[in-house]
Amino acid sequence: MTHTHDENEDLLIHRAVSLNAAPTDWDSLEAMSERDPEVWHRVAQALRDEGELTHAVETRTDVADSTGPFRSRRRGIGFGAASGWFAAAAIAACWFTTLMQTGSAVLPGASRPGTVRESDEMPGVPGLVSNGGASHGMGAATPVSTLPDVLLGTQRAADGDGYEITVMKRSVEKVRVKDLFQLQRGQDELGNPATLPVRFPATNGTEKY
Amino acid sequence: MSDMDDRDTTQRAIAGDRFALETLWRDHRRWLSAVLLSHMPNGADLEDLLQETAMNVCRKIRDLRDPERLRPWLRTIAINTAISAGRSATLRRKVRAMEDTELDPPDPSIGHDDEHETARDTLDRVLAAAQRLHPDYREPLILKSVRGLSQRAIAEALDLPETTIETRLARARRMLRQLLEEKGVPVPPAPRTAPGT
Repeated sequence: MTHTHDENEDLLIHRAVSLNAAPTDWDSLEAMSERDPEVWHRVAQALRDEGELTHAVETRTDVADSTGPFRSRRRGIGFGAASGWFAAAAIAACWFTTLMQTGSAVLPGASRPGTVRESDEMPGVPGLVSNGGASHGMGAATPVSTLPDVLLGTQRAADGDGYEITVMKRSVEKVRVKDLFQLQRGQDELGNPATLPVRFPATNGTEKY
Repeated sequence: MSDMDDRDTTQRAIAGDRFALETLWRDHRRWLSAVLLSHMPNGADLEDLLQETAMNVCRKIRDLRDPERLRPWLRTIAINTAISAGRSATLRRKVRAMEDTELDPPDPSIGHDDEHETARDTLDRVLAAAQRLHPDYREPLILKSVRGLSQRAIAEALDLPETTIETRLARARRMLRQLLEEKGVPVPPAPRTAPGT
């Protein structure tokens, strides 16, 4: 269809379709139709497009009702399949973190903030490792403190009875080891990390790192 | 919800009221999903993007300085979420293309996107045509299709004068019709004479 469009007609049709046309707008449309009877046809087409587009947009945006800042949901495999769950977990985590920072709430099961704050830098040597790790220390680990739990995810229980939350527990333990080594990048000829023994100056027996 | 209620809810959400934030999201998620529909990359999942937008709103609500500017602020969050998803999708496509090159040649029997498009119903084609418009026209037109969202609210969200939005909508309707005619969507035959003549 070829038709020379004029902006005024576009505006009048838009107002008619949006039900915002004033009586003078209708008068103008009537006057236009005297010269070009197809004006009414174009109004009808615009109405039809409006109806179809509204229906299409409404159908697509129905998914909005199942979303929320504190909601998790099930979904199939597809684009970013895991991101929905991740997003829900992160939302809960960010909210709880905010609340904890303001001191108005503590995660269920978490230790009281203040024993060791999340932001506290633990003193230490970067890349410090023991011979065999803490689990192979010379004695049993001594609990020092616990850090606030980190909420990793939430989902409805498979049997529909309640919810399952995945929480990362964090604790600080002290363990005695025989030797200490430090990871040093680029020490061997292949550029692989190599370990170097760490030596502390001898003191009165209270070496610390 | 009145503007006054909206302002009050926004202020409470900024102050950390979880229920106010829920309310805020419930009141705005429909039109925000239309914003995402206008800006989302190909192949993206609207529900995922919405959920991610909700997360970003939750994380950044405290940064909102002026509750009066809630709509443009929410829109910016949604658009940034869509842009970020677009970057990730591009990266995924590149990785997939590299993997495909290394593994098997593409199967010629698998249809091209255009073929799928021909199988879509009219409603999908109308939306697909709207999504092909220039962003200046696409977004107001798709937002106008959200029931209950006024021209004034669209102008507020896009931070533009209402008259500009009206002009864009008027042009967008005409451009949409032209696109639909190009794409062969059935158009009712023109009447030979005007009604009543």
